[in-house]
Amino acid sequence: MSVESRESQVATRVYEVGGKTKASGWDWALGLLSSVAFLVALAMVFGYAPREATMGEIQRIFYFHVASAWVGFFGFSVTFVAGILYLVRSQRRWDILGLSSAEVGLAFITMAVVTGSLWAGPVWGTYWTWEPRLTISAVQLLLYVAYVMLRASTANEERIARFAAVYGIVAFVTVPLSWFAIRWWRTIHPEIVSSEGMGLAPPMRMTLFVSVAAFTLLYAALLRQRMRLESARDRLTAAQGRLAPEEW
Amino acid sequence: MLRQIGAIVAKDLAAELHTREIVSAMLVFATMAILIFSFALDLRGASGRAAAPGVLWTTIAFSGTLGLSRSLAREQQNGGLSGLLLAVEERSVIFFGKAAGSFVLMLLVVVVLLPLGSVLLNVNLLRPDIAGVMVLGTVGYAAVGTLLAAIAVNTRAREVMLPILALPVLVPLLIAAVQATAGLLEGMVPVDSWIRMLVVYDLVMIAVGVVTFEYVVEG
Amino acid sequence: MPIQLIAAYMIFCLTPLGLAFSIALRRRHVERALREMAED
Repeated sequence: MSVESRESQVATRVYEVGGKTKASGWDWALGLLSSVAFLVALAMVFGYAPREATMGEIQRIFYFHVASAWVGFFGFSVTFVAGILYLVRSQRRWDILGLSSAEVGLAFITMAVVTGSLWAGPVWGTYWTWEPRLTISAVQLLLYVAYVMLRASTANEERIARFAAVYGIVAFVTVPLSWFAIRWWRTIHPEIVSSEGMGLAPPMRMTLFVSVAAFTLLYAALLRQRMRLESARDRLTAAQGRLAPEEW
Repeated sequence: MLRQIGAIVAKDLAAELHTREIVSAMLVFATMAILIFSFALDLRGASGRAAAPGVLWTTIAFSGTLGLSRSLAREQQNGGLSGLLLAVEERSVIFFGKAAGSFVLMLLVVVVLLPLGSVLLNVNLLRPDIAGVMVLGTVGYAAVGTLLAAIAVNTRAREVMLPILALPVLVPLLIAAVQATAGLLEGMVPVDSWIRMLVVYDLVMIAVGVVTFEYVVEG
Repeated sequence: MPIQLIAAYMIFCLTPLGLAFSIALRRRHVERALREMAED
């Protein structure tokens, strides 16, 4: 029996090992593509997009801010779907997908909240306001910080995978509920500031589109790397299990 | 099914009636919280009335996490949940039973909190419509809290984990409940949409709890 | 250029880089452990 198959046999006893560990040509291509797209988007933000008339230079935050908020939300939807699939199928790969996506999404939503606050300062005259979109990003930040803390809090991998899947579902369901609550709340107590009605000139729209595309690629590249890391950890766990089976 | 749920609730309440440790802890905590709010924010007269909904719901939210993590930790110490898992086939029945038990405990706290709040915050909270909002909010809270407490007791951090998991999920509930309460007290803002929001939240979270609870308590 | 804009784009560049770096670092750690086990 080869080392490889014995190793995977031990691992299936715990739970199925998902995914490859080695970097493939696709990984390099994806990494390169996302870097190039990121640089192109960056160049467009500062070189191509026109200066906004009323807000001035600070409006340039908008492009990457929207892109990272979008990617954060997208990452959490992936965690939600992966959570459902994990509960239905109990396959380790869905757990890996869910946890990797939440972690990468958390980095992006954190960027969105921080830069949203940096936007609010000069534009709205205060570094924090309970503007609906800023608020929903902050709520998502809290939810997924809790998700990551939950993942870090138990040793029993199989059980924590189920807990995380359930919490990923609960957290994702909370997002639209919060969104409606925050929106109604804000319309009842009207704000002076409004982020609505910002008409986008075509070059601005183009820049936003490229930024969102670049960030989505970046998300995919980071997600793949994060999943590889988790597979490598599985192999290590399986190898350790082979040496000391009584650990399990 | 209803009979089984009733049996679980009765068992829980009988155990609680015996020791009274959770209800008394929640009540003392809630009383202290409302006192601290009222002198930390200097809530007298009009300012007390304006802050009343927020103070009330914050107090409920925090004393709720206290009671929930305690009641599930007790369950785990006594190995009560594993017995329950053996005795009751249907996991959703256990979920409903546990959630209903938590709901009753929290309702007891609310019953004490309303007159206390009325006195300290100088506002009349003893009204049927406000009681209705309290019930709606507490139902959703108990559903979310039961599901997440079952997760939290199995982690290393336990009592610390529950508020971290539960409070962000409770954000929409707390916004809706505070707004509905405030709307009723001020008597001019429409509260229908907030009540509807609470009902939707309750239904959604109960549904999620029923579906996912079995994956939490398994194994 | 406003300072907030510069700060924001520094965050946009450094956060993904930092995440990629942290993943690579953890990965290298795990792979070294794997190699050591294979040698034993």
